[in-house]
Amino acid sequence: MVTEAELALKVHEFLQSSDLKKTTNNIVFKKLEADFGVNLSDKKPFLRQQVDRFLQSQYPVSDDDDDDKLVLEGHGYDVVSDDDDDDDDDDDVGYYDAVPLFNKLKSVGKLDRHVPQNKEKTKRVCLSGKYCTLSPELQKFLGVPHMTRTEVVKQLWTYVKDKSLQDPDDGTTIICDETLRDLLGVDSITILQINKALTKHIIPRVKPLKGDKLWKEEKEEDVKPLKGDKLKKQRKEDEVKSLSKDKQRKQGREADMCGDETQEKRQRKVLSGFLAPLPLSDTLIRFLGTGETALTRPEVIKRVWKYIKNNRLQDELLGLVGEPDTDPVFKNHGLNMDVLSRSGETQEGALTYTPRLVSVNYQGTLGSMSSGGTLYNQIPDLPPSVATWRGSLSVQHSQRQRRNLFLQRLYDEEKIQPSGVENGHAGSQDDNQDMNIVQSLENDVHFWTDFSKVHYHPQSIYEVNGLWMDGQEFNNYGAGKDVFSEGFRGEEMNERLRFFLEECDHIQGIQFLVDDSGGFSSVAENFLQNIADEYANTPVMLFTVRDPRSHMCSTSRKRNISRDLHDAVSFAKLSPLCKLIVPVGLPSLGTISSYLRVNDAKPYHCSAVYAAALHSLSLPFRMDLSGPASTSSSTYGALDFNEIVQTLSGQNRQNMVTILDTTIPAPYLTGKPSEEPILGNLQPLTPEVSEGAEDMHSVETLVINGALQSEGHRASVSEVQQAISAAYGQAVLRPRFCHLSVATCPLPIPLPFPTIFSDTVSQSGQLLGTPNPDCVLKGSLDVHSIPMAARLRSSSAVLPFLSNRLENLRKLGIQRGALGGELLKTWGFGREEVEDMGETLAKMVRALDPSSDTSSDSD
Amino acid sequence: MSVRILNPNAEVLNKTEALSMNINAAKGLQDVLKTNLGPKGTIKMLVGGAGDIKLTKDGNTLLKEMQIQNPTAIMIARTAVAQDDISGDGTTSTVIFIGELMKQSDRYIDEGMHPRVLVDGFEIAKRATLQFLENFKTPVVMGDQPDKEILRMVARTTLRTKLYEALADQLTEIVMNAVLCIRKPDEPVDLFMVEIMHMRHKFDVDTKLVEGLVLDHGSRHSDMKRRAENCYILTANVSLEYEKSEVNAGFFYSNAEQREAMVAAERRSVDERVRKIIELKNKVCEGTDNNFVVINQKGIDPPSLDLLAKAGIVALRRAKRRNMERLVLACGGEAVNSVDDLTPDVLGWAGLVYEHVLGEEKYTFVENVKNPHSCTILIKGPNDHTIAQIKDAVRDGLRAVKNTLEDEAVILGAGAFEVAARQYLVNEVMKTVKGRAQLGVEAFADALLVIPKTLAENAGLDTQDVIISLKGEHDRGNVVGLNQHTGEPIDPLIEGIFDNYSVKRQIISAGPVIASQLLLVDEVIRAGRNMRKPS
Repeated sequence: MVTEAELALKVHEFLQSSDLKKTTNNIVFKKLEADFGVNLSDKKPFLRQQVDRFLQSQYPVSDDDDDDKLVLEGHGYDVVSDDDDDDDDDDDVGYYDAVPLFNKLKSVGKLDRHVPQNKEKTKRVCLSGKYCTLSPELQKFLGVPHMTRTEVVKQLWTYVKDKSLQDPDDGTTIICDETLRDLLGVDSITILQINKALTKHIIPRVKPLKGDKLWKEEKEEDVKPLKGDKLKKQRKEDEVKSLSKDKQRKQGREADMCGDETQEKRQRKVLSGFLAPLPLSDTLIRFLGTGETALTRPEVIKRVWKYIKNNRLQDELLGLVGEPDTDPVFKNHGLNMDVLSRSGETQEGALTYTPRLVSVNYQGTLGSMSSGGTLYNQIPDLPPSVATWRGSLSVQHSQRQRRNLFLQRLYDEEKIQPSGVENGHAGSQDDNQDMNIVQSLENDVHFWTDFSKVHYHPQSIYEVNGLWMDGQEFNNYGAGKDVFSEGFRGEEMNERLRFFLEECDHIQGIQFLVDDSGGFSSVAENFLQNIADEYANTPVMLFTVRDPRSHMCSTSRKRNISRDLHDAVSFAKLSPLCKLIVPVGLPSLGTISSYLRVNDAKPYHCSAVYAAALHSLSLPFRMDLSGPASTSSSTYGALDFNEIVQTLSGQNRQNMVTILDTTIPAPYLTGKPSEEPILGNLQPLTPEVSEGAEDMHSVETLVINGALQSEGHRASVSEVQQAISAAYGQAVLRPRFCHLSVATCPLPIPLPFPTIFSDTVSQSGQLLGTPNPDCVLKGSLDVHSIPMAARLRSSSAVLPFLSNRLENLRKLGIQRGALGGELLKTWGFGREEVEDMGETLAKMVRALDPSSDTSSDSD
Repeated sequence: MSVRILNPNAEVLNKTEALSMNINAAKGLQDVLKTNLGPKGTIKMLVGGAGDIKLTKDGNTLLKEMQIQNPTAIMIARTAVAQDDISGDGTTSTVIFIGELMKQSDRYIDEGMHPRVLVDGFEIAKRATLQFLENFKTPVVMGDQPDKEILRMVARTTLRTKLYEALADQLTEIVMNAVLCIRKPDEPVDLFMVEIMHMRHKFDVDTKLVEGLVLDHGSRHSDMKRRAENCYILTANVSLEYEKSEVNAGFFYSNAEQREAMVAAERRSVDERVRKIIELKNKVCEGTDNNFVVINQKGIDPPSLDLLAKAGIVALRRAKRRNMERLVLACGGEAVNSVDDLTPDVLGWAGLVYEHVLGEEKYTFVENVKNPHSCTILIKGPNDHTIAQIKDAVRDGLRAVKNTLEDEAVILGAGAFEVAARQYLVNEVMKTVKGRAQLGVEAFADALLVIPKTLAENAGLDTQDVIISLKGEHDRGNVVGLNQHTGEPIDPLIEGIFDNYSVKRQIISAGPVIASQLLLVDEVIRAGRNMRKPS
């Protein structure tokens, strides 16, 4: 047994000789355990005490600027947040022990110095905050002569909330009413200016009082970043497609926050390190969004945490902090993220940020995610008591869906278990975990929720229950025929869509994604019909997305007939209900780019490619428009949703079937001698497209994001413009019109992105040399962003796609004695209706190819 | 077996196997649902794979939540769900009745009887029972002043099987009044005119009937009043937002001015519409402290909202389509599709319009209306599953009241009808049937008893005792049902236990049909199923 005296001696010896910037309590424990060869866990409190004593003796006062800088640089493990309510010491110990001792010096030193002072002051004034005298106007407004500044702002804010004076478009702006106008002398004011405006009304009176909480240390999350943002899997039937709120924005925000922290730290010093309500920087006020201009530090941390938790941003944080020189393109992306996402608030007042999305799928396809999302109602660990029935209760548990590693980690991070974080310090361990996660995603994705890190609004996810069919039976138009109209399903879906549309001031349009290879195409038809009735002037862009498996030929002839007919029927039925239809889904994605290795059997892989292309397409209508003629350094060629649709389909030809082309990752703008530049590299994602078709009337919208000029050099907007117009100039097949949109911000690769890149794709998406077909594949850990280009093309190249469908419909459905006639009848189509569909298709074919023989009386 | 030759992978079940599969499936489904039945049944809490909770005592909801795979069970489930669609209740009864028919048949088939004979017996028994139902029903006259007591009893009977008594009784009043509120003489009751709205807030007992309308959104402008009294209500379906015209794509403009001009012209026409509404407001509200509320089915964009707010008008956009109808029924006036020639006649009236905010959710209450023909049942509860369960119960209650109004008849409940019908079949009908079909009738008659049996079982009573004493009373000529508390016979008429006529009729007619189909299955072939199964 080791005596305490021995231990104390050893601790002092060890600390004398060690680098305090690196040493932590844990290291001390381990060292001692190793030295003495015994388990010292029961001595930990004693040891901690010894360490503190040593620190105090070494650095009685340590309170200069250097400290702060060091703290900031050592993000990896600075500061520990002591949650106000958290009295559980064990939890804190975890953090505390892992903090380098050097950082503790400060706190210990301060502790030493300021505790007595604090007591003294507490005796003198027993109010919190800084008591101020108010100006006569303000007195009139508030009805009291003195108040703390915090309280003033709070009252003011309550008033604003009560009267709902916030600008509905911009919550940070307050539209003054009579009373406020008198007080502040302006018509409208942003929360940022309020403080300033109030200054003249507030006269400091009593010296500030220190809060009664000890300042321990503050902590930012210390977990190795999980990169990236959510990825939408399109195979599921989404409506109101929404794409990633992206990383850049988060990073931008976090960057702001960090700036604030620095500022605060300085202020803290003035306030002797104790917790008085602190004035907050403007950015932080805006960030918190509650209008309070002063808060106690734990409160700030708490809120920031809440925000981070709610938005699953936590994992981005360190990524940013770790790379202080984050590529500026991410920060100045010039995109308006709110186009596809909404911010909201739960009943408890927590802020939320969720996609504007309604998703419909059958029951049991959500995996481990609850259909209500997790933001608005936390699922309790224990089933709650039943309030509505006094009789007996039987509980039926369906088998619990296991979260995969990725989701489990997101979940754990939300719970912030301090003990878990302690382990997380080791960087290598984290890398390992990331690797494991990527690995497990590769093999373990069963549901689209398995790789989605986004929180959804409870209105977003709708499960169709009571179908009693699985994907195999739900594979034709007839199967889904009554799904929408049965019960309250249609009603419910419409309601959900309405919820998101009601809050939009300017609805640009609706992106509607449907897997049209099965019964959902008739569900979609009904839904689109409703949308067309209800929101007549809102353009709908329809993506019919399929996974490669749906192209597999079956051995059964009957099945093939059913499939061919289904394809024709669903296309003919869906296309008239939207403004623009984009068929997406190749039989195989293997050839899409030599830099990608997509496994067709994995929907997870294909979705990633499609989602990336759709993400690019959404950029033009998400660009910040500062004015019609303004030029921005990060974006060019903003188009709103309606303009895109009109550009493509509104030309003289009125063709509304467009082809989606993409190149992922995009090659260098200038192109290496051996390679073609971007234009030549675009590959269609639309099936059954004729290649090299000459079409003088084609119209294109091209989106290029994050293009690279040459190795390591990101192309500026104007460079891209020049290069593309030059390329068009040289091209043999020139479209009649092409709209170009450029964004400098590349596609950030989120952690759950599948491992599909070849080894010659570099971290920032540069293409280094010709890929080796047998190389080790790279995933999100190695590739952080890639340049992309995507193009929508209204061209006669889509003719084969259309005429195949027309032919099938004629052959199998319309012809006398057609094989599929009976089948169509069971799907509920009369002969006339089938002929109408044939006519619809024929019209589309005629639009593109006037010479074609499209008379429907060919039988 | 010829299928085997064509497709060696086909899975074929022969006659006995097929039959036993069908019977087992029916019995299995019956077992799952039977504990649900009646006011002493078991409530089921379903905990999903992700931990989300569904609470239900409703057969319909339970079936839909189950992931049924057995084809026979799916057939039965579809019938039962159709039952709910048609009559609003009786899902559980249908399932256990079908299950019982199969069970009874099983006994006879084991003894070598051909299913065909049984099915013939079923058919005879079914017709006889339906006829008996006609005589057995208690007619109620629903004139201009319906007998509230009867409606109350029917609603209570339904609701008490879904919710605990106090809450059920509270909701009974609510659903009854709701249906009476929307009822128009000589027209079928359109239950859609009762809005069912929920708020996650307070407790189940705070559920109430709002005479008027509750909308699940609020005004989107900060200057609009949050509470207004004495309001004119304009129900409109007019777009008050700037919509891009069809030929508005960027490159059609030669310069920025042209574009600006185009936008301005579009804007003007929207403003014009807003101005017309404001004119009407000024006309009717001039000089009074009355308020003006616009509830629009289409969108209203911020500039229009601003204009309206400045004129002191409260405006809500994107109201539900159905709320347009409901509003007109609740407040009067009419829904307008154009703002040309607006007259004060189109306006409705509400004494009070106010907004209630819960987090990001806003609710607008339109209350104190004159002579409402539409109303809202506002369900409150602390969590989603409680709300969902109450909502299901309310829907069933509404259907029960509606059915009663339309059937103009009710059936004595608590198993009284089933016992009476059974006695009728055994004592009267069987004598008239010749040959082995008699046994089919007998099986049918015994199957009917499953309802009182299950009620007794769920109440923890001895089923044999109960059935014997019930049968005895019936033979003595007393129509009695089961007292769930004591197991003694009671008179449902005195206790006020009534079921819907149409629900019973539907059960009796649908059950045997599906049971017959299942009994007559000769062979089950499964082939070619796994063709497109993911690898």
